[in-house]
Amino acid sequence: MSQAGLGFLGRLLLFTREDVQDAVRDRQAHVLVGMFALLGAGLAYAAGRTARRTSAQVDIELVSQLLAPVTLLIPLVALGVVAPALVEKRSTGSLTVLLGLPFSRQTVVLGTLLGRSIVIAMSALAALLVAAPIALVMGVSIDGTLFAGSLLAFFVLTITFTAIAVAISVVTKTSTRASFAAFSAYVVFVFQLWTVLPQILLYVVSGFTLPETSPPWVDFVVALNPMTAFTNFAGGLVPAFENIPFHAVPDNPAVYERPLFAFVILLGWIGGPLCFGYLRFRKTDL
Amino acid sequence: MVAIEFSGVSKRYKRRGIIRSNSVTALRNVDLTVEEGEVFGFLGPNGAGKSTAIDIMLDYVQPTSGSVRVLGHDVQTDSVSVRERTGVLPDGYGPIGERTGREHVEFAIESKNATDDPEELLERVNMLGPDAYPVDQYSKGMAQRLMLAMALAGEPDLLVLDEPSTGLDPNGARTMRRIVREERDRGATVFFSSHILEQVEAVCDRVAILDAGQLVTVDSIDHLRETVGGMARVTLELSQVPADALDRLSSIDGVAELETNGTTIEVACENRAKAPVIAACHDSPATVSNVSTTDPSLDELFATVTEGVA
Repeated sequence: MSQAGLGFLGRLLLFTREDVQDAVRDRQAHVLVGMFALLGAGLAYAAGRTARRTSAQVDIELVSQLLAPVTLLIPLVALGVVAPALVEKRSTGSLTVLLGLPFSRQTVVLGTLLGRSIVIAMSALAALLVAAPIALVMGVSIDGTLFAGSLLAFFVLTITFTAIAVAISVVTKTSTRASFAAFSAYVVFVFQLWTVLPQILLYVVSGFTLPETSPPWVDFVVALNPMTAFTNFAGGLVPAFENIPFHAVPDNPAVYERPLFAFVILLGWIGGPLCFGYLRFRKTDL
Repeated sequence: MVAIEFSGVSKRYKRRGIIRSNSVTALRNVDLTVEEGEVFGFLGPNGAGKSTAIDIMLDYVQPTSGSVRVLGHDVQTDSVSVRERTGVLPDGYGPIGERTGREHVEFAIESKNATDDPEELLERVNMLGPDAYPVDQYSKGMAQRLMLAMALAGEPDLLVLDEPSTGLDPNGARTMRRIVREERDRGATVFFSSHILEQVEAVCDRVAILDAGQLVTVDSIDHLRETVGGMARVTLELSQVPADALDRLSSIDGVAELETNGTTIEVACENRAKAPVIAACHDSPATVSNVSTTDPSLDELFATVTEGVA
C-alpha cells in the first residue's frame, strides 16, 4: 500500500508540533514559562508596592513597567536556547533520524523557527498573564491597547531573534561555537556594540581620523541593528517602547527610522539569516 | 524497474586548513544498479566507503560528482519523494528528544502519512515492553530494533539498512534476517551494508563488494561461490605426519594444495576429493585425532578481492 504524502504544509506543521512537544518533554518549555512568569509576577508586585506608596497621586501602569525587562530577556532566551538546538540534534544523531523520515532540510529550518518561536512567545505571554491579576489586585492599572500592542511587538521580537539563532545553529558545527556566536550576537545587537562598527569603518575610510560630522550612512547602519529597528518599530506602535535601555527612539526619525521601514528591516533580519542558514545547510554533510 | 542507480559517484572529504588542506577520497566513480524486488548486499571492510555511499543515497552527504536516482527520483533535488517511499536504518542515529520508543514509531508512521499500528511494528521487532521507556536509555541493540521498526513504517518500497546487525544478539540478528525476507516477499527492495559475510550470504540475492572507495565486484551469491572455485578445505590432526603421506595425498585426483606443520595437514581440494583424502590418512600408520572440513567460503573471496591477493 502506497499512500499519498503529507504535502509541504502538512510536514511543516507536523515537524513544528513535534518540536514544541520536544520542548515540553525535556522541560525546556516549563523552565522558560516559569522564568517569564516569575519575572512578570515580580515586576507586577514591585509596581503594586510603588502604587501603594505613592497612592493616588501618580497612576502606575503595569505594561510599561514590563516592557524593558521582557524586551531584554526575549533575545537572551531566543539566542541562548535556540542557537544550540540544531547543533545538538546534529551531534546526537537525531537529525539523521529526522532526515531519514520525509522531512526536507527546509522543513527542519522553518519548523525549528516556528516551534521555538511558539515556545518563547508563549513564555512572554505567560509573563503578561501572570502579571495582570497581581497588578489588578494591588491597584496597578492596565492599559488594554498597550497590553495588546506590546504582545504583538514581543511576538515580532521573538521571531526575529529566533531566526538569527536558528541561522547560528545551522551554520556552526559544535555547540561551543554556537553558544559563543549566540553570546556575541547578544552583545553586538542588544548592548549596542553594533553602533561602534560604522564608527570603526568611518575611521578607516577617512584615513584613520574621525571627521567632525558623521556622514548620513553611519546613522543608517546604526538603524539596521535589529534591536534598534525593533524599538523604532515598536515605539511607533506603542510609545512606551521608547524607554528601552540602550535604544532610544530619535525625536526626528529619518525615513529608515520610521516604524514601517524598521518593520522591513526586521523582516530582513528574519528572512536574511534564514535564507543564508538554509543555503549553507542544504549543502552541508551531516 | 530500477530501484537504485549510482552513476559515476565520487566523494572527496575536504578539510581546509590555513597552512595546508587535505582531502580523503571516500568513493571513486561508483556505478551501481539495483533492481526492484532484490535483496542487495553491500559489502566491504571498515572504511571502504559503504556508509558514504548510503549517506549520498539518503542525501545526508553531497557527492563531489555524479548522481544517484532512487525509485525514479534524483536524491539531491527530490529527496523528500524518495524518503516517503523508503525506510531507513541509518548509521550514527540518535533519539529525537526525550521520546519513548513508541512515540518514535508513532512519529515515523505519522510522518509517512501511513496507517500502521505501532503495536504491530513493535511486535515484529520484539520491542513490546521497552517501548514505554525513553529511547536515550536504550542499549545499542534495543535502539537498533526500534530503528528497524521505524524503517518499516508505511510499507516502504525500499529499505536501506546501514549495518543492520550492529549490536544485535543472535536472536535479534535472526529476527532481522526474517524481516528482510518478509519485506522482500511483500515486494520491497532491500539494500543493506555489512562487513559480516554470513549476514549477507543468508539473505542476499546479489552483492557488491566495495574496497577503498571502488566497486570491486557486483555479482550474485551463487555465481560468486563458483568464482571462488568450489574449493573445500580439509584439516586433519594426526599423531605424526608419515613421510609418504604428502605424496600419497597429492596423487589423489582433485587435490590442489597441501600444507603441513608436522602434526596437521591442510588440504585444499575439490569437494569430491574430501572422502579419499580422509580415507588415505586413516589408512596410514599415524592415528587421526581430529578431522574438520569447510566449504568454499565467501570469506576467502572477500579476503582475496579486498586485499588484492590472488
